[in-house]
Amino acid sequence: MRIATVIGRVTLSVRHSSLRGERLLVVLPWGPTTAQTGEGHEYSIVAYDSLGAGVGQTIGICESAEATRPFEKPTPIDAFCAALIDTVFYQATDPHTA
Amino acid sequence: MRLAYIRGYVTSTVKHPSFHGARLLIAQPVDQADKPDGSPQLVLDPLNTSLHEKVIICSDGSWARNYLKDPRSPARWWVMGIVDPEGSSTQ
Repeated sequence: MRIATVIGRVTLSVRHSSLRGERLLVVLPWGPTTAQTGEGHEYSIVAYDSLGAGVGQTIGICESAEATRPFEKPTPIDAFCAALIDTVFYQATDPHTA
Repeated sequence: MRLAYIRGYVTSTVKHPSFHGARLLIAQPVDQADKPDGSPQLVLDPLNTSLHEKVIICSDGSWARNYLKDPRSPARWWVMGIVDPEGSSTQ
């Protein structure tokens, strides 16, 4: 699961038959420096959301085959919003080593 | 499996039900020179890892679902082992 920031939404006019009433978010996954600097995101991806994440929110996205596990029927999804993140504690380096 | 450092944790109220009660740590994967490489991952922590420990994280989703006792869980990454600095090397 990667940490990502929601930057937008996508709506579809034509969709795969397995999708109905889906909510799709455009998200920027965090890179190695993002937690410290707020910059250096990875390339944006589209993630399926069922938790109701809003623009600007930090979320956890599950990727690859595991993204489809919550669905009962086979669904063509490879990024799934699995958590709305409230707080992030991050220390880039160990303060106890020089 | 990737080498990574535990750099923090997150808290979350609204999440997939399979994650209730699970500790989600932030693991930063590193390259052979110990430099950060790629996005930090939120990982499950069956070993009670502490902060800044060097670990191996594993992407076996099947084991993660078994650990969370939910076949519908989207979990994937988890801490598989804590690296012993004495016996490890790269060339």
